[in-house]
Amino acid sequence: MIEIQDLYFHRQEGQQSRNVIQALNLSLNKGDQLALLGDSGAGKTTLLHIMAGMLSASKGRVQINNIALHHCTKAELALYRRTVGLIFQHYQLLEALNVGDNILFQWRLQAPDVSPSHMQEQLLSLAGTLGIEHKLRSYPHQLSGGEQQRVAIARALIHAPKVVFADEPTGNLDQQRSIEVVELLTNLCKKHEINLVMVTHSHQLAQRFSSIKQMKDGQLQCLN
Amino acid sequence: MSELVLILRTQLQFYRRHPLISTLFLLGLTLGTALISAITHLNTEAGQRYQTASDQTVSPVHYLIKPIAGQTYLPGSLWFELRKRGIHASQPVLTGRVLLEDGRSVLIRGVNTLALLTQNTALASSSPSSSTYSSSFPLFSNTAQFVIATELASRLAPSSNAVISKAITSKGVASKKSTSTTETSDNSHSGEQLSHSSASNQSIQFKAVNQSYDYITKDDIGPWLITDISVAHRILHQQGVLPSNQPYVSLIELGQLTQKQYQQVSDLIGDTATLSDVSQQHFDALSESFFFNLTALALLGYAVGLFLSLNALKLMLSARNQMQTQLATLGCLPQRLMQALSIELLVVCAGCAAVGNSLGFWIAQSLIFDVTTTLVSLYQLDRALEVHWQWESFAIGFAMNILALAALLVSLQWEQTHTSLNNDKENPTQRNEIKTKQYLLFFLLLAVGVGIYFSASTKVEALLLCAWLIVVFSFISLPLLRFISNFKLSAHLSIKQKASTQHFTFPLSSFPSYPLAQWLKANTSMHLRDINLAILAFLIALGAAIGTQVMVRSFALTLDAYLQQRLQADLYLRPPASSQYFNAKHAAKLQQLPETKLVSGMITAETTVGEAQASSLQVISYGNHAKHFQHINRTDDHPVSQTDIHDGRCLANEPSQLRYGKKIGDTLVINQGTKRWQCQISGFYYDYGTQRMNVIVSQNALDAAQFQTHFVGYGITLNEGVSSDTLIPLLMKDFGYTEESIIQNATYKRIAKSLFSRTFAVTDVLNTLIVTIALIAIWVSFMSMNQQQKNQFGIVQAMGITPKQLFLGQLIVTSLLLLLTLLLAIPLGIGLGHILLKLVMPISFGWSMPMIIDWPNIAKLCATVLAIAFIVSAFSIWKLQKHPIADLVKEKL
Repeated sequence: MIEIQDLYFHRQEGQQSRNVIQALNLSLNKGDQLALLGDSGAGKTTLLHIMAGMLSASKGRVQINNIALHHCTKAELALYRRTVGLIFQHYQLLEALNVGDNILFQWRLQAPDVSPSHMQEQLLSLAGTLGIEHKLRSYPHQLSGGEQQRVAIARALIHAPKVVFADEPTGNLDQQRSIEVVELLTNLCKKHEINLVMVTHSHQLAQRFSSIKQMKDGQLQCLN
Repeated sequence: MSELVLILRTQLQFYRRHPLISTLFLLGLTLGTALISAITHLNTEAGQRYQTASDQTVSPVHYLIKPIAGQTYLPGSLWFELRKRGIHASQPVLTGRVLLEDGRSVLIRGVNTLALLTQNTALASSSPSSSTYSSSFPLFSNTAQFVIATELASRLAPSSNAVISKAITSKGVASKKSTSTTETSDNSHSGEQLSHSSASNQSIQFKAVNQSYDYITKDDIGPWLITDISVAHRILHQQGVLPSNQPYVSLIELGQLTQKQYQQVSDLIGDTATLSDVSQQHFDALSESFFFNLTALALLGYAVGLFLSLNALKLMLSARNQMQTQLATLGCLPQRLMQALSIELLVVCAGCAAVGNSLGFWIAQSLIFDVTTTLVSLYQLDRALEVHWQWESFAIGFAMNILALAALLVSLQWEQTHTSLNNDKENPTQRNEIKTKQYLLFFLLLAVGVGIYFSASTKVEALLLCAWLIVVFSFISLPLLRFISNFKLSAHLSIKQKASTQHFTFPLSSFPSYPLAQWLKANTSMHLRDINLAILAFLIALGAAIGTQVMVRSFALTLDAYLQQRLQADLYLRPPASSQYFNAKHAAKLQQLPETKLVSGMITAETTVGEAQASSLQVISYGNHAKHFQHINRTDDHPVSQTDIHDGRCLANEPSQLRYGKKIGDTLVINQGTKRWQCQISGFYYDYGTQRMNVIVSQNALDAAQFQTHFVGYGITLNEGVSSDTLIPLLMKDFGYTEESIIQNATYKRIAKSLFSRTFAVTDVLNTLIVTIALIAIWVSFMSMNQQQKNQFGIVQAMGITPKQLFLGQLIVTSLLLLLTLLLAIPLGIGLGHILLKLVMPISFGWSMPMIIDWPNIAKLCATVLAIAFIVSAFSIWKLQKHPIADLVKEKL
C-alpha cells in the first residue's frame, strides 16, 4: 500500500532551486500496478527514488506498507530498501558478483536466517521462470542486455517484496523483448499481489497496467 | 592548422572538466621532479662551488695556499709578502672552532672585509646589474661585527639563553626579508640595508672574551660565524686556539694566476706551505658517496611520484579514450590527433619540470645549510654553498618526465593486453605460457640478486641491489594479494547478519554481514591491479623509510658505543701556548697526580701514502705503551697489544681496508715531503667519521719517521670515583691551563653526535618527502578507485546496505590492505637496511657496523604513517558516502 500526501522535492541547480515535484498526492492499494509516464525531466524517476527510499523528500508524507519514509533515518531507509524490489534502466548489477549471488544479495540482507538450501531452491525456480538458470555462475559482463535485465528482475522479486519499483526497465531492449519483460513482470507481481510502480516512456507498455498516470509540472495527472 | 587548434582546445577543456584528476596527475610528476631537481641543485652547486663568487670574493677562486701536513695555520706574513710581489688577487681566510659563553662549539671564519668593501664599491659603480653575494654583504654597511646564517641563528636561539638572545629568530626573519629585497634591487641601494640592519643590536658572547659582539643575520653563508679576520684572530687567540699573538691565516685564496705568477708563488712558499689547484681537492672524491646516496633517495622519490601519476593517468586515459574516439569519429585526422597528443605531452612534461624545478630549488635552499655543515665537518669543504637557479635540472626533469610518461603509457598498454589475456577463458595455453615466463623471470631475478649480493664491490652494484630488493617485493605483492583475496571466506565465516528488518543495530554488531562481506571481497579481488599500484607506492616509500631508519639507528647506537670507548679519557687538555709540542716531563707530572689514572698525548702527522696516485693519510700516536691505545676499537674485538704498534707495525683504520683494499700484513709506504717511512698493517680499527686512511703507531715510531707533527693535546683518564671538577681547578692553578683549554669528554661526544645527526637530517628530510608523496599516492589511489566504483557503492546501498555499514566495510578492507603493505614493508625495510649497512656503507664510506633493529622506533614510524594513510583513505570513503544514493546509481558504469 502506497500513500503520498502533499509531496515536494526541490533540486538545487546552480544558484537556483527548481521544484521537481510539488504538492503531489498518490494512493495505491495492495497489488495495484501503476505506470508513470511523462516527458524527460518531468520528475518520474525522482518520485520513484523517493518511494524507493533512495532520496528524501523536501516536504510531505510518504507512507509505504505502513512505513513512514518521511520520518526515517538513513539507516532505517536502508532497512526499508531491503524489503522492496528495485529495477533500474541500466540493470545496475554488482559486477564483482556472479548472477546467482547478485540475485540473492538483497534477500540475504533482508532475511539472514533463511536457510541457504531454501534460497537455492527459490533461485533455481525463479531463474527457470526467467530463462536464466544456465547463467547463474556467469558474471554480469558476460551477459547480454536482455539477460542482465532478467537478472535484475529476479533480484527484485526473489525475496517476495510487497512493492517493486522499476525505472524504465525496458529502456535498452527492443520492442518485442520489452513486451515480454513487462508481461513477465506484471504477471509475477499480480500472482504474488505485489505493488508495481514502473516509469516508462512507452504508452503501449503502460496499457498493461491497472493505473496510468502522467507527471507534468511536478504533479500527477490520471490518464485512465 | 585550425584542426590542430580545435583538437588542442578540446583537450584543454578536458583538464577543465576534470580538474582533480588532472591536478593529481600533474602533482605526481611535479613532486617527483622536485626531488630530483633539489638534489641536482645541491650536487651541481657542490661540484661548482669555486666557479662562482662566494662569501668573500667576487672573482672565482682558482688556487689555494694551505698549510703543509701537520700544520693548521700559515703565518700571516705570507699574505703580506704575496701582496708585495704583486699577487693582489689573494685573500686570507682564518677559520677555527670557538666556544660560546654557554659552552657550545661553533665555527668562526675571518675574512678580509676591507677587500670586500673595495670590491663592493667597484662593483656597484661598474656593474649595477651584477648581483653577487659580496655586493649585498651587509657587514660593511652596518655597525655589527658578525654575520650569522639565518638558519644557524635560529638553531642557536632556543637554548642560547644569555648567549644569543631569543630575538634572533624574529630578527632573522626580518633580515631575510631585507636581503631578498636588496638582492634583487640595485646594488647602490645598500643604504637601505644599513638603516634596517643597524636598527638591531643583537649581540653574541664568546667564552673567555670580555666583549660582546653585535651581529646580523644573512641567508646562505654557511655554518660559520663570519667576521673580519682581525676579530676572528682575537677570539681564536683568546680562547687558546692560535699558538701565539702573531698574525695567522688558515688558507689564502688565489684567483687566476699567470704561469709567471704561479712560479712566483711556488718560489715564495717553498716548503712552508702547499699551493693547490681547487679543482683537485679531495673534497670532490670524498663527498661523491654522500651525493650518490642523496641521488639514490631522490630517484626513489621520483619512482613513488610516478606511481601517483600512474593512478591518475589510468583514470585520465579511460576518460580520454572516449574523447579521442569521438574526435576520430567526427573526422579528425589520426596524424593531427597524434600531433596534438605529442604537443600536450611536451607541454605537460615541460610544465611539470618547470614547477618541479622551482620546488626543487626551494627544497635545496632549505637543505643547503645542513648539507654545507655536513660537508664542512665531514668532507673538509672550505666554503659555504649557495643554491643558484639551474636550467640543467629543468632539462633533466623534462627529459625524465618524457621518458617516464612514455614508459607509463607502454606499461599500461602491456597491462591491458596482459589483463585481457588473463580474462580470456578460451586461452589457457597463452595464460600458462605467461605464468611460466613470469616464474622464470622471477627466479632469474632472484639468481641475479643473490649473485650481486655476494659479489658487490661498487656503490652502483650495492644500490642496484636495493633496487633489486624493491623489484622482488613488487613481484611478490600482487600474487600475495591474490592469494589473500582468494581465501575461502564462506568456509571460514560463520557469522551471519543478525540485524532484523524491524530494528536497526549498530553497524559493528551486524558486521560482517555475509552479503556485504562477500561483495567487499569480490569487489576487492576485481580491482586487485589498481589496488596493487597504490600498495606498491606505499610499500616502496615505507620500506625505504624503515630501511633508512634501520641504518640511521644502527649508526647512531654503534656510534654511541664507539664514542663511549673512543672518548674514554675524562679530560682533554689543549697544549698551553708556551708549549706546542708534546712534553714528556709535563705528561709525567700530570701522571703523578693522585687523581690521574692515565695520561696520553695525541700527536698527528699529515702524510701521503702510495706513489703514482697518492692518498692522504694521517699518522696518529697516543703514547708509547699499549695502555695508551686501549680506547681504540679493533674490528676483531681484540685489545691493542704492544706488538701491534711497535717495530714497524701499525694499526690501520677500517676505511683503509674497505675503501682502499688494504689487508693485514700489507706494507704502507708513507711519505711527507722527502721523508719516507713504512709500516706493516697489524690490524684494523673502527674509525667512523673518517673516509681517508689513518694509521696508529707508537710515539717512538712516529719520532723515528721524523715527520712534521702536530701535537693535539693530552688526554687524562681519572681514577675511579674522582670527579673532573676536582682536578680542573688544580690544572688551572698548578699547571697554568685556562678554562678554555680544558675540555670534558661530554663536549666532544656532543660535537660528534650533532655532526652525524646533521648528516642524517638531509636524509630524513628526503625520506619525509618521499613518504608524503606516497601518502598522496595512497589517497589518490583510494579516491580514484572509489570514484570508479561510485555506481557500485550506490547499488549496494540501494539494495539495503546502510552508509555506515559500507563505510565500515570499506574501512576494514582498506585497513587490511594497509596492514598487508606494512607486513611487506617491514621485511623490505629491514632488507634495505641490511644492504645499506653491509654493502652501501662499507663501499661508500668505508665503515661497517652491526645491524641494530630498533623495533619501538620502527613501530612508531609505521603507526604514524599507517594512521595518516588510514585517515587519508577514510576521508575519501567518507566523502563518497555523503552523495545521495540516487545520484550514485545514476553514475555511468
